[in-house]
Order: sequence, then structure tokens, then C-alpha cells
Amino acid sequence: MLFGDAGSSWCKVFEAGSGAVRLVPSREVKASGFAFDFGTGHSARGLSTRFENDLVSLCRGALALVDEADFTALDLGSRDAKLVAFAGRRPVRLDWSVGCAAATGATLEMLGKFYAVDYSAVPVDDSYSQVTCGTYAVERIMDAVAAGEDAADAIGRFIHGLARSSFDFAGRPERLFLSGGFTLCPPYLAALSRYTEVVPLGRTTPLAGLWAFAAEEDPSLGPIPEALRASRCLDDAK
Amino acid sequence: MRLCRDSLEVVKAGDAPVIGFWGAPPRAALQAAASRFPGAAFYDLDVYRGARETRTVPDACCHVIRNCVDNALALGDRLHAVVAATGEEKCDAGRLAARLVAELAGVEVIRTTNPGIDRPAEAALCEATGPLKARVVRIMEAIVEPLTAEELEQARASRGEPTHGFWGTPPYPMAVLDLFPDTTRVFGWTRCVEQGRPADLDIETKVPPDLPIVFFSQGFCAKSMLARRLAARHRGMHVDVHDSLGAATMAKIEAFLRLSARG
Repeated sequence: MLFGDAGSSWCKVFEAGSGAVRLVPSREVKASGFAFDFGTGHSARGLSTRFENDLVSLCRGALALVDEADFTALDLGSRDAKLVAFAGRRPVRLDWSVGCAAATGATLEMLGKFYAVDYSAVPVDDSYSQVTCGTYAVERIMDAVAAGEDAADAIGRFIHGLARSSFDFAGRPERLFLSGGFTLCPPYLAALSRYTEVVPLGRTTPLAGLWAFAAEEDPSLGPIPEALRASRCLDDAK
Repeated sequence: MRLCRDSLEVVKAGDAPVIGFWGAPPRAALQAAASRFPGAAFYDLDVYRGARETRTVPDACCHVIRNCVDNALALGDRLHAVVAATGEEKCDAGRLAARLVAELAGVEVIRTTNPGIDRPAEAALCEATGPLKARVVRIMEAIVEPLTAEELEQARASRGEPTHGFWGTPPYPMAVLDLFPDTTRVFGWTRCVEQGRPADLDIETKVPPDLPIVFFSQGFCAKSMLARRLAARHRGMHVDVHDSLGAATMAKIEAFLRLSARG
């Protein structure tokens, strides 16, 4: 049984029984001939026998991975931000911000390559940019670099600003479960941790949700595999 | 009184006159207009009908009001008069749009207010089971052509236990309503209209405490104040839609309906 979460930049593919999730560039997904039994993410709609929208799979995955009754989970990836908040394990807030978090992850990937920035060394301090979307971030960061600032410092300010706006978008919870590609971004985690307790869930929360749906239909699938719980991923390109 | 359900193109291509209307004018005003313009059917201007965007009304304005103005102007000389809701039961934008249409379309605009009937009528279609869009459309049509006895009986017979609620005005785009299951109950202004009391804030704000409800407001409509407050109070979901129903909004509604179902 094949599960796919086809986001804007990366497609996460998991085959039942395997030990890790494959990371495939989304631009290659259609040509790769994937046929998902369960799919999510906008690029997976036409490739999936059963398709769940991003918020549904995120909700189901968060409920599968988090035991708490009341909690908030934010998914921040390459293109947008999605938020689910539960009270008594019932959803009380569902949000999907396409405009205000537009292309944040994609922008950081692009700028990282452009300026050859090592994200593990990007500093985060008290300063931050009031920019929440990637489009304006490019302009601000390039302006700062053109004015002589170090690229890593300018990117760090953007990341700190992004963390602040993520915290506001999430409703300023005391604890925030974080899903998506930004769980791999140390300066973002450091910045967000200034405001709330961050619990990273990794990049496979929506896949865990798909597994939970599949296991409802076929209980013989068993519990959520460790690869999905631990967000164990292998990049096809490496 | 007769309602014209033809497309804008058909009306424009024909030679039959129509009386435009928007909102929920009182029946007496509609009957008076029908007597003054014999042979003219009523045409609901609130509905999006593909009229050319005249940009008379700014983009940052409720899309339903833009429909009213653009439809009226698109009808040209087929339009013989407009019965315009301009009171509390519509909105201030309805009052201002009446002025614009009178000036630009060159037809008589009959301004009305609708305090409502004394005793609220039965909310038969709001409480019925069946495709939500068809029920909401029929509620609005009933402003001119009330339900037949047979339709009323069918609606009563199909009344069932609701799983979800929709609160609000008929939305633009109407495709919003396709996302809801047949077991959706209708609240808010649409219910006020079916009950014959379109300005009744008590009916408009009354919802059951434990039903998962989507509180819809049209972008730039003042009813967003009510929608947001009610959603917060009843753990529902407030959705504000302006020009188009984006994938993110559709996903939000779909997820809420899926994950909040009772039982």
C-alpha cells in the first residue's frame, strides 16, 4: 500500500512495510508514475485512489501522534501554513494561510542556495523583520545584502519574524506542535522557542493521518509505523 | 406574481420585460409593482448571472451588491423597474446601490423596507433534508413564488436530525453550498427570509448550542461581525469569502464538516 503527501516542493512517499519515507522533488512526481492508495497535498489529487485534503490529513495525523486532549499543531512548509487546534480532541480551529505565509519555505531553500548559507549557523537574536511571506522576504533580504549586511544575518531576521507571526497565527499557545519542513530549520526552531514550547512532529504528520485512515478501513495494517512517528526520511536525490 | 428563472442572456435576447429586485422586499410592495408593470416577471438581481463587470461598485465591496448593480445595468431596456430592499433587512449598501441603479439604469427604483410579518412563518426548507443549494435557492425564489402545498408537505416530511449547520446569506459563489451534506440545517439571514422576518436579529442569531455550524459571511459584509462572534461562542467555524472560493477555504470547510460531525 502506497501513501503520498505531495506538497509544493517535496513529495513524501511511504510504502507500507518500508523503514523510511522517500523524499521526491514534487516536480518529478507526475513523471515518476506514482499511484497512491492514499494521497494528500495538492499535487496528489489526480494520483490517488483515495484523496484527503491537506487539513483533513494534518488533523488526523496530529490526533494520531499527539495524546493530549487540548493542543495546537502548526504545519509550516514550502508554500503555506496550516493550523489545527483541538479542545477535547475536537477541532476548534482550522486555518490555512496561503497568502500571509506564501512561499516561506521555498524562499528559504532558494535563498540558502543562492547565498550558500548554512542554516545550522544562521544566528537568531532579538532583531526580526516584519515580513511574513517569501515574496517580500526576498526583497528585504536582497536589499539588506546589497547594503552590505551579511546574508545569514538578514535571513536570520526574516526567520525570527516568521517565527513571531507563526506564533500569532497559532493563537499564542503555551505549547505548539510543529509539523512540516520547518521542523528541520534550527534557527526557526530557536526563534519560535523564544515564544512557546515547541514540540517538533517532523515532516510526516499528514502521512501518519493517511495511515490512520487506512488502518480504520483495514485494521490489519496495525499501528502507525516508526518511520512515520519518527519522521524518518530519505532524500532520493542524495 | 411570477419569477423569471432565465439566464441573463436569454432575458436580454428576448423582448419580455422584467422587474428586478434584491433582498427580501415585502410581498405588498412586490404585488404593487406587479400591478403597475403587468406582464413583467420578477428577476432576482442578487444572484451572480455572469453580467459584465461594470466596476461601478469598487472591488472592495460585497460581491452580492456588485451583482445587484451589474445585473441591473446588464439588463438594459428589458429592465422596467427595480424593487430594492433598502432597510435594515438588507444593508446600507443596498440603500446606496438603489441610488446608483436609479441614476445609471434610468428606471424607477422602488425603495422598500421589510419589518417582517407578525408571526414568524415555518422554517420548513431550513429544517428539511436534501441538497442545501437547492433549498437555499428555493427559499429565495419563495420571496416571489411561495412554496406550493405539495412542496411544503415534502419539506416537512423530509425533516430529519441535522448533522451540521449553515449560517448566513445565500453565498457568492453558491458552490460553497455544494460542500455541505443533505443533513445540513439552515440558520442566519436565509432562515429569517424563510420565516418572513428578514430584519429579525433574534432569529438571525439563534443557533443550537451543540451543532457544528459553518458561519459564512460575504467579504466586506457587516454580517461578518455576527458570524465571527457566533462562531466563537458556539465553537463553529467562521468563513469569509469574497470573490472566489479558493482551495484553502474549500479545504477548511470540508475538514470542519468531516471532523466535527456529531455522533
